[in-house]
Amino acid sequence: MTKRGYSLQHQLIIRTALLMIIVFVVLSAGVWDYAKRAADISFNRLLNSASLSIIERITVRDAQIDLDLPYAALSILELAPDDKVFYEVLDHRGQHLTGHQQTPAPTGYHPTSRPEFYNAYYKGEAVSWVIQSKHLTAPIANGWVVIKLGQTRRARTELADEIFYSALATLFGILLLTLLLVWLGVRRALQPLSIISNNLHAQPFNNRQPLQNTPIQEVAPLVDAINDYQQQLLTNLTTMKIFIADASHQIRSSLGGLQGQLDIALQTTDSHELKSRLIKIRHEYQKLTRLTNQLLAHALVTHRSDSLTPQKIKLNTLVEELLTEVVRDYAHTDIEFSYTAADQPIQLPGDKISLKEALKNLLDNAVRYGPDNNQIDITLGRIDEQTIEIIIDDSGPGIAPHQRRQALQRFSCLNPAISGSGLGLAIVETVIQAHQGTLKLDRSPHGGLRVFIRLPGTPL
Amino acid sequence: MRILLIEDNEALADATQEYFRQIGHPLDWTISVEQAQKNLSWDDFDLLILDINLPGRSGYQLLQSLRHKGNTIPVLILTARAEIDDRVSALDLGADDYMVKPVDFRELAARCRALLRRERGEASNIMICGNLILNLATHQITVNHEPVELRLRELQLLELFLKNLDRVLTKEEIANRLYTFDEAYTPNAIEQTLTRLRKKLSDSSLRIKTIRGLGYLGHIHD
Repeated sequence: MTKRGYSLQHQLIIRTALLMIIVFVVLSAGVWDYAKRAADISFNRLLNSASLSIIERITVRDAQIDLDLPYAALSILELAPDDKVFYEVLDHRGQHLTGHQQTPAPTGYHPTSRPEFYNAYYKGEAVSWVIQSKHLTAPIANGWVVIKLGQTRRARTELADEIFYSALATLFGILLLTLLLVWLGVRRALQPLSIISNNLHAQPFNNRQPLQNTPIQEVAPLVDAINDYQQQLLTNLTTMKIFIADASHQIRSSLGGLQGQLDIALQTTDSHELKSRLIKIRHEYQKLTRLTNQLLAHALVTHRSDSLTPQKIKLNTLVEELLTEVVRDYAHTDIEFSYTAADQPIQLPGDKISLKEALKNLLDNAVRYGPDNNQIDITLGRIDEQTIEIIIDDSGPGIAPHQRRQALQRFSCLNPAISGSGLGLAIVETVIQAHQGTLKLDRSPHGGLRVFIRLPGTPL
Repeated sequence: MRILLIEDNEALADATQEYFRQIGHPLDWTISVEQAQKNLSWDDFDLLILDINLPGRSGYQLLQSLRHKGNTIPVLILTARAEIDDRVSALDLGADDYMVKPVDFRELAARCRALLRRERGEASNIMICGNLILNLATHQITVNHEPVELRLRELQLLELFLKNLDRVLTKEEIANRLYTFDEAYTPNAIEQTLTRLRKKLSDSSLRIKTIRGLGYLGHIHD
């Protein structure tokens, strides 16, 4: 599920740039529209005032319509020297009166005294027009006289372009400035990360120095987390080193014993003595096998408690299966087993394999350290709604109160006469701790050892 | 009885072969699944002792193909892996028993005998359990070739245990098998029958363990 690596800095800058470009495009469209409208409004005002001056000069005289064209009016339009001006006046019958011929009119025009603006091509050029009418009420000319006045669009296009490009330049400047600020901000924000990674790189792996605390509030939790993690790793590493040292000591001693016995056996000529040597070798070998199995079991439960998600365990079924196996294995002995469980079966979340391994270790211990007529009792019960209890009693020698803490430690040996692997109770404790439970040693009613286990669990 | 051992560790195979020869059950040995399949195709065997980690095809694959073909030969799995997951899958695939290396040869031989006993008990009327021999047809019982007299209930109880070796039988299960609906019985009666049976068979290889609170378990210790 690992994604391809990517740079936070690049990502932030690229995303900001994309956003800014979208904003830039939208704003440009707005500015373009505004520039055009602004140019149109100013030039239309000029056109309109010119057309008004013309329309005022239309009079009826001597039974005919007379127009005295005011050149001053047209000269207003000369403010745009590159543009051409066209005009046409139509009489009350709609006939051409004076000016240019065949000028365009807006479609569906109804004569009115209010000016109307429109764009149309005339003589191959884009021209902005104003059309305006005047009502004549003379007997010979009763009706609307229409004037159309047009001007080519060069000057207004120039004005629109000028407004547009200067606004665009400002916008572009703002865009660049924003990107620069974002880039600086991201770099500044990510700088502590590179400082931390440089510090980490510079340290040798087994350095015990934690990272220096930082005054930056946002980064402090990260530094704390890294320091905690490092501390945990170092603790685990130390535990592991001690464990390996202990384990190799145990294995080497055992192998050494075997080697010695084998060497002596090889030199023995007496067949009776050879047999007794072989019995010793076999005994030593069995110890080594048990040690190896327990070491592997320890590694197994440690690994499983680190890595597995808990599943639901039916505790009664598990204990009954285990007890059946143990009774079968010790059927040839006089050991008595008993099992007491509450009426309602119990379930708990956890890892079935390691829990079974732990309980098996406890039963094996009870058999191993107990007398021939041992009495081993398993009791399952409930303390309250959320807690269950497993009690294992035996009638062995038990463990004296002052030695109980030591008994839980790895490779501790309480009784040199009976050598165990020294891992049994350590395995049990690892498993119980991984299940958020507690383990307590006490004296059983038969005088032997009582093991109390309390675990979070509920009725099935 | 013929046993086929499929094992790639030569030292272990050699020692196993020697041990079984000494106790009077010579066994054949092959090193791979492919070789074992050839042996199985031209010979009849009563039991397979099968290692899981083998060069080439694994022991699981052989077991799977045997069971797929409907072959019911008892199979005892040997493996170096101690995880119980392994055991579950081995038994799910149709293995009859399972042992983790390193194994005690006495234990291995006892488990083999138990498997063969189960197989033969179903096929014939004679059940041989260590030094105890039960003839299901004539209801004659001998321990160390000495006849033992049993009452009817004791005989029924013995048969029940021998057919359910290494399994826990609850008091209810025993009562249901031994008594019909109309017969009144007290839990004490079973206990008394069992005590007499234990006494009469005290020299035999059969051990009947009481697990207070759970039931009874019969086991052959030979």
